[in-house]
Amino acid sequence: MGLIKHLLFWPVTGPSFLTRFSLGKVGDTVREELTNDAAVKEELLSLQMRVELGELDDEQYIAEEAALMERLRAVRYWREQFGMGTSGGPVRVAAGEDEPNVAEDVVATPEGEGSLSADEADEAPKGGGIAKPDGASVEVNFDWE
Amino acid sequence: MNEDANVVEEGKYVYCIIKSPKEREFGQIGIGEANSPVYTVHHGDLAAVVSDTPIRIYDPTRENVLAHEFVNETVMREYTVIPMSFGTLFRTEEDIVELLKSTYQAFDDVLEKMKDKIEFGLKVLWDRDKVVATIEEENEEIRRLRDEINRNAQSSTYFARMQLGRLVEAALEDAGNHYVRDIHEALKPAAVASRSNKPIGDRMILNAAFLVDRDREKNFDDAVKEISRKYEQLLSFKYTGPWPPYNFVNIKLKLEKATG
Repeated sequence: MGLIKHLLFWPVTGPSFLTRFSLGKVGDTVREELTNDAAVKEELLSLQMRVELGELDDEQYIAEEAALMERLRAVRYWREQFGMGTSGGPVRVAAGEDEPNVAEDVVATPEGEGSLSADEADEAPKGGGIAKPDGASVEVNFDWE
Repeated sequence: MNEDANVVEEGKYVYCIIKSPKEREFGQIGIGEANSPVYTVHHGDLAAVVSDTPIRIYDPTRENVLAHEFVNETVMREYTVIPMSFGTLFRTEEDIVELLKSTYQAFDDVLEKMKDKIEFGLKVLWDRDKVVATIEEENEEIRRLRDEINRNAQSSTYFARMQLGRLVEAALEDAGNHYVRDIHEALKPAAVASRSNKPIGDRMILNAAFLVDRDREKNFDDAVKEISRKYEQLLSFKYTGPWPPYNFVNIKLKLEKATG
């Protein structure tokens, strides 16, 4: 089965397929596509705006949200397979009201093999996860920007 | 996705950090199906607001995010809060105490700086057609070119239409920048800080958060009302809050590598 087919059917074939396929051979472009959740985050935000503007009813919202969550889980799955940082999800999410930034700038620092380079770490999805008690910092930003 | 459903490891979901020497309970409003009680874990006079939860990844669904926010808003009515990122779990109470202990000074400083400060959200969307109409009204070059094209509908060149399109686009961008600047100018005297996030969708020209002193809330409200009245023909303002200072404080944590 070709790579693309495997990717399409990853929920079915994913785990067993991976044992037979060296991830090292996956091209950078494919890897980027599989592990980048920026597009999903943006779609979630615009989904939110559409509800707020009344362009979408609740039922449609729930259906579209479910599809996006599925994609987020897929991204998470692939990030794990590639040994990259994983997290709870996107920075900002939909609600009936305005959405504050709920998960800005949490830095995921994966341990173990295949850990990230500094550049990649910057791109790690932001959001929750299981936090370690040490190495925390807190900062405020009172700028006008 | 956890296949080993028999062994469910328990952890703590953390919503925010507050200053409270005494233990508190905030009701059965925790995230997740169980709606677990929300309570405090202490180190000295610092406290983390938490609820018990199975160790899992919380998808940022509307339901989950609203649960997270609802707790923060509840706590915020009585305390200055440093909000935690959505979805942050700790394995044990000891881990949380360790966090509070090792980051005590920083949390203490930030809580002092954030004291009695609240956040408001302001999204501004424009009605593109109306703005274009205003631009045509005010910009003589555009008006002239448009009239010319209209008069000679048959013979007007592709080039002339392109030129009009370009002029309108440029004027739109100028107008958008002008509105945003004007809104900032109007709100600056009543706010402590501001942060602009990326606009969502093509109708939004401003997606900002403002940090405001609690006792200046009225001034800020009035300033928002005034500026939205000034532009009511062209722009729609979506004003929300008060929120915890989500956009002005960051707790950076090291996360374990999740294993699904």
